[in-house]
Amino acid sequence: MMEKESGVQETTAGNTFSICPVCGRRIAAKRVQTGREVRMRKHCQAHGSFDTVLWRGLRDWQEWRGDIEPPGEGECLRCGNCRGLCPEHKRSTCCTLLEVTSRCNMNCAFCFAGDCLEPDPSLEQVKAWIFDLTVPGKTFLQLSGGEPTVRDDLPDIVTFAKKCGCRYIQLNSNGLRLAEDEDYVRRLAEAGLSFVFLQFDGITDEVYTALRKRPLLSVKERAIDNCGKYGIGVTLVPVIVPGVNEHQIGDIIRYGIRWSPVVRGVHFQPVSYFGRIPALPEDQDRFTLDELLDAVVRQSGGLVQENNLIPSCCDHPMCGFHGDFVTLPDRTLMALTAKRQTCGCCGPEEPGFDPAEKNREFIGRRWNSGKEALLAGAASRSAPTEQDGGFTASDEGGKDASVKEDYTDMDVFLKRVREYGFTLTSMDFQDAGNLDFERLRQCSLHVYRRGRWIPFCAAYMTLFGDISGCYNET
Amino acid sequence: MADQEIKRPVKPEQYQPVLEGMPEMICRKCRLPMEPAETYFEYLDHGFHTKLLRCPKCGEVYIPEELARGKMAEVEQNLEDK
Repeated sequence: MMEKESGVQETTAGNTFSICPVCGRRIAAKRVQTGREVRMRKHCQAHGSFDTVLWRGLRDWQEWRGDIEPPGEGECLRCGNCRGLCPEHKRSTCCTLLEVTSRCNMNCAFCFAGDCLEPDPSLEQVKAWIFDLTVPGKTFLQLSGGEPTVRDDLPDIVTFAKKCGCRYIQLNSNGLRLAEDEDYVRRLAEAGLSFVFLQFDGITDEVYTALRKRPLLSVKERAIDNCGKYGIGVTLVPVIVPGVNEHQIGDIIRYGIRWSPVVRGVHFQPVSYFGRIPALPEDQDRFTLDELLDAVVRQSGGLVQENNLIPSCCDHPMCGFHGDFVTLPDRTLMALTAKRQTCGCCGPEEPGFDPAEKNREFIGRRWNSGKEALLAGAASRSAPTEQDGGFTASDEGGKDASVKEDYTDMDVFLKRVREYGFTLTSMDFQDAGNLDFERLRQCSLHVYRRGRWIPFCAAYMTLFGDISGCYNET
Repeated sequence: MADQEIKRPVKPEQYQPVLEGMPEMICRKCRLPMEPAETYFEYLDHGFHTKLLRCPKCGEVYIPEELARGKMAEVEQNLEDK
């Protein structure tokens, strides 16, 4: 225990391993707690010391993360430079991400995929990968890039993935083509696309101009509307960047609720510094998980309570949260999740219990369900206008929102949950500055590259000297 | 064990009306015919009600297997499944 000049005591909040953000070598790292704030400190003999904030102290660090066995010496030696899951990896695959192109029709200030430009893999090559990666009836496939919709043959890829037995097929998209090419959306729906992860950073064009270099709000709305017309659920995915859009977190949630059931939830991604970024991060450029938790509750105006957001039992608790809700006709939320003393789901694990499988089924079902209501609801929706705080998405086809339904009636409750499920989730990706092997070894989002599954944050890890550079697999 | 039927959850499209077509049920304890009654129960801080057969004397309710493996299981899954 040390004492800082301010007189506040410093305690060790765990030892782990990380990498040197300059050379990428594995180095020991220490988490240090001062008051309620937690930082990571690490030292590379060649490149000096590094110190970054992990937790601001807006929630209790220990209560959130619980007790987790630290990585031992000799374990996960190559974890930061992973070239494929090793037997020591602690999670099976929840979602498999497949890059079907490195091209993009935008040039964002922030992009985890960086500036790597390679020719598209052929359709036959993509099919061969999908055939290899699919476990029929189980696989949750994320089609990613680049921007996957630059491929005209994306519906053929979806058709093939469905034929192979992929259980859920998600498209990660900026929405440009989904907004402009309705027939393309129809073809994706007919091919069996389950849902879209839509880049959606805020509710004003200033946010898009700052992060995506062009105003995009109307484009996002058209994309959502088109997806709704063809029964494709949409999850809004905001990248939260301090000083740009952290003040719009509550507005994004309210926006999503107004577009329910087309919009199935919001998946927050606090900015991470890999791929293409404008500059290396200082403390003030990071938006920590506890800041996000605090902002969601505070900015939601009572829609979300602190105990509705809980750590996933799939990934590491510091990798994100999830909350499960149902949207109600008066545009409020009914919470289904609540942190309890004795949790109903995460009790002692039975033999054979697979958190990744449980999580895959949960998110897949939530984002994929209620297509009938979605189709019916979308048909009656009007585009948001300046009125009503900027949005006038209709109240479920003209249904009177003041008429209260009885959600203690089991049939009414189940119908509502099936049709109007809404999730608030987050994924806090790691970069070379704050990479923690304890988290990485528990990652269940895996990138498929040429027959190997690589934890997401290892796959896209960019050394700070190579920032804005191209990730080259060696 | 080999002969034991595996009890799988009933899918929503397979749900049957719980009381429709059900033969008369007699309370084992009171020997009285059970009657349809709104029944309230709680699960993980959420309260629900549905119509079940209940003994007019002792209040014991009969939960048919299809309800337990159908709607009730779905409610539980929605509240636990995180």
